[in-house]
Amino acid sequence: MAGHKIKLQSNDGDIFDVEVEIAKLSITIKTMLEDLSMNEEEIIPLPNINSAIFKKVIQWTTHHKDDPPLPPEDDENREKNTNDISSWDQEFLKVDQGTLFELILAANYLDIKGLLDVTCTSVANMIKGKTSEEIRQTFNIKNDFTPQEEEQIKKENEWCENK
Amino acid sequence: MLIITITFLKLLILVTHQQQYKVRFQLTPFGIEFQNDNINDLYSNRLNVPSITRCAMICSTEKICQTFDYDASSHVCRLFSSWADQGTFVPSTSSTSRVGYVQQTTELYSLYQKSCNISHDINRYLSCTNNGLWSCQTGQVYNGTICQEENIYSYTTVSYEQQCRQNQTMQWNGTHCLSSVNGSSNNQLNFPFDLARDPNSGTLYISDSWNHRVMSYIVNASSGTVVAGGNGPGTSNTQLNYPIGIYLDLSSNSLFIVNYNSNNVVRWVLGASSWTIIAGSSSGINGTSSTLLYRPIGITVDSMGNVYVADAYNHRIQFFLAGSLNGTTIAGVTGIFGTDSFHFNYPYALALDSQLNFRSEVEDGASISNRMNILDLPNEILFIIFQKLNMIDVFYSCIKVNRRFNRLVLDSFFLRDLNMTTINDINSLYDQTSSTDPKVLSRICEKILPRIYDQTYKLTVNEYSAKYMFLASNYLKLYSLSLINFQKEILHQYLTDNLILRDLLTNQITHLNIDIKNTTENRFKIGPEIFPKILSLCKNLTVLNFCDMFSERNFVVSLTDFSWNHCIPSTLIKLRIQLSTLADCLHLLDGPFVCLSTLIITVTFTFHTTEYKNPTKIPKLKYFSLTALNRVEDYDDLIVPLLRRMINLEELKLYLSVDRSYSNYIDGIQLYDQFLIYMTQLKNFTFYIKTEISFMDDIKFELQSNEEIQHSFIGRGYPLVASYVNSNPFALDGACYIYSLPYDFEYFKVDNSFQGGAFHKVRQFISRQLTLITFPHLKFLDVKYAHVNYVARFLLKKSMHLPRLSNLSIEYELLMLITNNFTNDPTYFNFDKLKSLDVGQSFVRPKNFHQYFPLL
Repeated sequence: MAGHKIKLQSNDGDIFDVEVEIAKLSITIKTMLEDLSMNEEEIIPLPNINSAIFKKVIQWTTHHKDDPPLPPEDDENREKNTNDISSWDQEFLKVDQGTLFELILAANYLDIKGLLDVTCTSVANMIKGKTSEEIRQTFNIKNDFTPQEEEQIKKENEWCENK
Repeated sequence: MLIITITFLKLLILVTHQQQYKVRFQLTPFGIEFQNDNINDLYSNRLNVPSITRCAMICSTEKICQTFDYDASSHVCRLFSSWADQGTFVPSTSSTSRVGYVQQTTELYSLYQKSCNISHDINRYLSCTNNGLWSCQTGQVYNGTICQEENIYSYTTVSYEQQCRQNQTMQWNGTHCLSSVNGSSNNQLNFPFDLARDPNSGTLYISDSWNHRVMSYIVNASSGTVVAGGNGPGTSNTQLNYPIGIYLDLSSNSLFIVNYNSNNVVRWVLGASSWTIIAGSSSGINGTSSTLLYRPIGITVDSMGNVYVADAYNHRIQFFLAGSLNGTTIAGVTGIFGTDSFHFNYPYALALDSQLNFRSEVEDGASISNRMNILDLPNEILFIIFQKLNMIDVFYSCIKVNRRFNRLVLDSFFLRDLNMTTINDINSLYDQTSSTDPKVLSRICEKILPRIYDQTYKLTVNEYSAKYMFLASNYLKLYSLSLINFQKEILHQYLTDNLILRDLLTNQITHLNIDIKNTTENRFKIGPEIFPKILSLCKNLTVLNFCDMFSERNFVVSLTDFSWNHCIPSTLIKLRIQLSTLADCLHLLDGPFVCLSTLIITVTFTFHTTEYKNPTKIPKLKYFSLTALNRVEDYDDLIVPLLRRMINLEELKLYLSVDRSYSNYIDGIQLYDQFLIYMTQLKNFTFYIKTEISFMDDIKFELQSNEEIQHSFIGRGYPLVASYVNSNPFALDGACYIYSLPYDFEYFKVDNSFQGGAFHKVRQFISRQLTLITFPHLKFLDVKYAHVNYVARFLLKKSMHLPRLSNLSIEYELLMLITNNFTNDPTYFNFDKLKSLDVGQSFVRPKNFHQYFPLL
């Protein structure tokens, strides 16, 4: 039904009225609506998503609501791997890292393949072409190898230094 | 006892990686409630819970919760930490009450002492310890089958009610024991949030948030006095609504109070019974404008009476001149959060120094996002990210980042599908720069591969990495191989000379993908040598894609003059291949493919007719797809008889442009009578068929009208069909298009007869505005013979957006015309991503060519 809305509640208590067709881009919500025949009045809680992230998710799904379904993944479908991000998505993903990771978790939890794909691609693009030290700096990762392990890895991968 | 599993919980929990467990509750019949033997086991009462499913959901997300009961009349959800057998199911005074509980079985503890990863593995019943093993949770011991409390609760003789009354944190309401840690009497507080101190008297003012009031406590008092609110939550001027930040203004003897839920700041004169508005909406409306606030939290006031508010959900600090309801944003950007020095992320407190500089604190609660690190992502997400990288990035850099990255890269799951090329998407085929440094590649192969050979199931190599990948034969589990971006000669050499590769193909490989680089040689002359070589080498092959992996490729197989005489029967079940002509297609089907059930063929050329000789049926074939990229003249002589042989076909896909003389348009009746009637098993028929009719002399048939075409599809089990007829009564020709909906092909030829339909697979029409159309997936555009108006429409960004256009064919004159001899602004055109430009002739590139075509 066009324009029909459901209520979704983020974990910090905010309630969002979302068009069913947009909400159903989330397979999790779609399955809930279809399998559980939840009544219209009932507010569906999303215990893993805060309102700031959920707002972003709604923004993304609203923009992408008319996208064609993604092709199925198989060996013949190499196109699935395309690392292009549309300019709208690039703008959309101009967020801090924490938000990006939260979006990934939200997309995974809500099972929105397109959003998961583009957010993961965005992280992959941040890794691409960087040395391990640069990756550590980019993502604030602690080098937790023991000196022995470090030595071992260095020996195994000494060629990395020559890149 | 009635046993119902609330399956939806599985659904919710399964998709949650922070809680990778499912919780299965069993439900008692109605009229039952849970009586816990130990009072403390009732750890929470939730009011206003709308349904039992919600109650179950709350219980499932709280690890401590093992049992709940829910009364659908009072909407009370009680959560217990005890297992069902540690309490009693008792008849309830309410007929709508029932109990849900987790049955404690050994299954819940099946992972006990198995290995786990402390950084991300979660189990509802076990804890992951520092030594990487699943163990009982704190305070529990393993008794051989389950984890149980160290001190098993000893039953007391005191009555349940007495126990409850004796417990300071519980309250007996006459029938039930309810938890009561907070209170609303004058010596109690409920979520106090902020306080202000009168420096003269020492009196404290406390925002008693959940009691919707502000209390004052004079020095040494054990009980306070309500000085503001206390009349329940609301927006009237005698009520407060979750007051949070407060500021004591001695000069006016009043409190500034932030009503979090009413989105405003009010002034309450001490001793008065109501407030006046200072900032935000008096009726509680939230908003982003200068007169509104959205979930304000912190407040401070300077000596001039100006007010500063941490407007949390607007991510800004608002400044209100004394007496003004119109605020100014003095820090942050409304509605936008971030971690840089210009943005806030839910600012919640602020303070002024003596020079009136202020500091603001950012909330550090669950709702805050900027604290998350990449390492907080679960493994399966990191795998997805790694799979988007090429092997250089993964093996070269990621492996050295830290222990977790190292372990993940060398994890067998990741190595199962190993792509040893830098081609992980179609665009990189064009990137000349993406070729791998041979030194790096050799070191990867030398240092890392020996450790991972035996874990790889699927392998992708190109002609560079093949050198290193087939030096040793340790791929014990390998079954799928993709050889991509090979020069034909080099591939042929590998297949002839490389013993390890030959051995793998002969004995192990069941799935094979072959991709050959575009070649400049005359395509008609490409011989069949590689294809039969593969067939004869691979003894166990079941799935083969031969040169049809990327639609950009022009390598086609010609089987003319090839004899199947010496070929042994093939094990192939599925074959996808680009052939030269229809005759090759017929010849292929005469080959030794005794098991073939799926055949996907793209035919490039058509000017070949042959007499149809072999009428034997092909009963094994279940799926057949035929795409003819050029016009087909042999539809009636070749294609129809071919299709008639496929008597057991279940799915058929045809993309054809048929030239016919002295005949009429192909319609639903013809398709049915010609071959569909013989395909008794057919479940799916997808097609695009264009018929072009020409009459060379005055002999003419009357061609069908569109209504007649449409009518011909009725009642014969067709899917939804779109059709368009463009007959010219004067000239001796006409064209008719029929296609099943939704449109399911990668190709579409547009001319004046374009009729619309649902073209999901190829292009998507989104009418963003009245004039701009986007084809987000369009990569190939051929406008060689199109009118200049159409060319302009496709290539000018103002009328069409083609973000992925990579190959363009256009006449040189047209290119000069629409670019005005390369003088128009380069940014006007959809040329930014072009990687191939075909103008049909050589030309001298103008100086500014690169501004138009940066990638060429």
